[in-house]
Amino acid sequence: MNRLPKTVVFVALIAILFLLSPLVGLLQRMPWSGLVGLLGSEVVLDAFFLSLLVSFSATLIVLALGTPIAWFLARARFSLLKLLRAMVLLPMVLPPVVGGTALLFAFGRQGFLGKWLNNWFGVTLPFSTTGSVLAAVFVSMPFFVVAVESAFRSINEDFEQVAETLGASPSKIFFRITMPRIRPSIIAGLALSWARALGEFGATITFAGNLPGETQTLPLAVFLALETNPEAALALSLVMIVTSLAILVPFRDQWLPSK
Amino acid sequence: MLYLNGSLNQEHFSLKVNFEVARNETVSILGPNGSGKSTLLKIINGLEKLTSGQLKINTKIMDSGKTFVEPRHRSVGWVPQNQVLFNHLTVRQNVEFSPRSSKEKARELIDLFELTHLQERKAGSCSGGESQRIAIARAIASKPQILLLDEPSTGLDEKSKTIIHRCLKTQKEITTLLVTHDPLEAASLSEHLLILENGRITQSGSPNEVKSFPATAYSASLVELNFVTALADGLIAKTEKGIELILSEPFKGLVNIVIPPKAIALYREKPTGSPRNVLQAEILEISHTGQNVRVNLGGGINFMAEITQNAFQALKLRTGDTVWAAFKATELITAPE
Repeated sequence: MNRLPKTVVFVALIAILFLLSPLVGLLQRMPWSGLVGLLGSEVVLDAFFLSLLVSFSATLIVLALGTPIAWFLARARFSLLKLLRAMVLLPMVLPPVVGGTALLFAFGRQGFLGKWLNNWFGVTLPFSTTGSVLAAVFVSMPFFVVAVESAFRSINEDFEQVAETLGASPSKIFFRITMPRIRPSIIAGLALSWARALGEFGATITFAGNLPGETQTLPLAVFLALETNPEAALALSLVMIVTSLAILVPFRDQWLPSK
Repeated sequence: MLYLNGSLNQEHFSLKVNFEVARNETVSILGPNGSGKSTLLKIINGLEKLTSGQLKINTKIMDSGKTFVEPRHRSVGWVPQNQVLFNHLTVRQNVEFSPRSSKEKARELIDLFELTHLQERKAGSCSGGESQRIAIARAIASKPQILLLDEPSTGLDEKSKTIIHRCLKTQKEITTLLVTHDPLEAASLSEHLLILENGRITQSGSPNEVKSFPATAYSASLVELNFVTALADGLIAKTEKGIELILSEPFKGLVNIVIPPKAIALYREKPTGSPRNVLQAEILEISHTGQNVRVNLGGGINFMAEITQNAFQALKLRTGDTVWAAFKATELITAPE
């Protein structure tokens, strides 16, 4: 390894300490002796499994919907493309509460789409687990789209052109050539959007509410427990940290679409 | 059979060609960098669209004002310059990739191109020469009506080059267009040469014809002959820079003059006597080619003389020296432009 300038090392250490200090704060106050009981409690278990269900469902939907969007944004050529891209990425910078409010006006019982869903199919999205998934998809999709769009953009068109001259159909080219070539970026995008979905709070509480067992995911449970039972909040936080690390560490190498 | 008569206009480049390739014939396209060779191949495989004109493959119209057949329906095998292997697939999966291919055809080609021991390896782990063989096998496995090879042996080691040339010679039943920089490769693999310069075909003929009567400076340089254009009036022709050359027969108007390098003799002192061309020139570069020595000369004309080692040593030539170059009028090959 190259020798790093001392100042860089110093600043990096300070930054790492800053990032780790909240974690230390949590661990230091953790009620280790009563932990097993707390972790086994219904609230924690419900929130944990619901979080897994919501975040993984959301990530699957993001994969299915985000890949075509990313492809389209990378390959389409028209004048309003920049505006469209900004719109697609908007949830990334929008305060989640605003996102949740917007979802409510679209998919809520009185929303312009929600009314229709309700009248024609009897489907009610707000304050349901499906609503939580919808909120998570809304906020996490842009993270996936950004990672995958840049990958679609960077791969050399030669590969697809050769496959085309060999007589391959567009779908064969997409699934056998294009997708495998951008696999690392897809995995990175999935990890990023999953992490975002797991941590989702604002849009969910606005759109889906905070119903234990139905829409109360880990972050919502932490928020509620902090008021009434701080020890439970600590235990829930520990569950989130361990879950996140368990998913993200194996993807360490593919975490960022660098090479 | 391939028939192309058309043009392609791009922002900074235009291509306008008219030629035919007979069934099962191999035609080589030679030309300097940027002359449009790779673009020409892309017109044939459908990755570029003609601005005007017509492209026919085996009597079927592929590209014209009215019709355009998509690349995947053309059956044109294309081996681009940088191979473009599907690195995440194995060698065998690459060769079998085309829906028009079959397991038997692929196996046959894998054996022919000496890839059998590599077939289960990922294509990304193969060397440059192996990659080129895979790319050619993959294109031939797609049972193409036309095979397009873009510089198939550029930058390869001798062993891979030999394997590729031997294999291509066994594929005589495929109509092939071969883009190359190497006149030897062109002469050994094809019956017909097209010289492409700046988007236009400047010469078309058998390797022998191009060798004997190069039509442009580029054609002449390919076969290592000197080439000058001059304005003739009787037995004297004057080049653009005012150098006068004596011809063996009278001409009127612009003429192309080819000076074989071996016909040029070099002297330290100005030679006198017999009616021949004598020019003063500066030595720009000296290169040894085994038996002979090539001397690049600059002055009124840039040209190359090839002399024997003995003559070279006797003259004690060095870069920067000024010498006299002499050649007989009868050694010149002259043709009206």
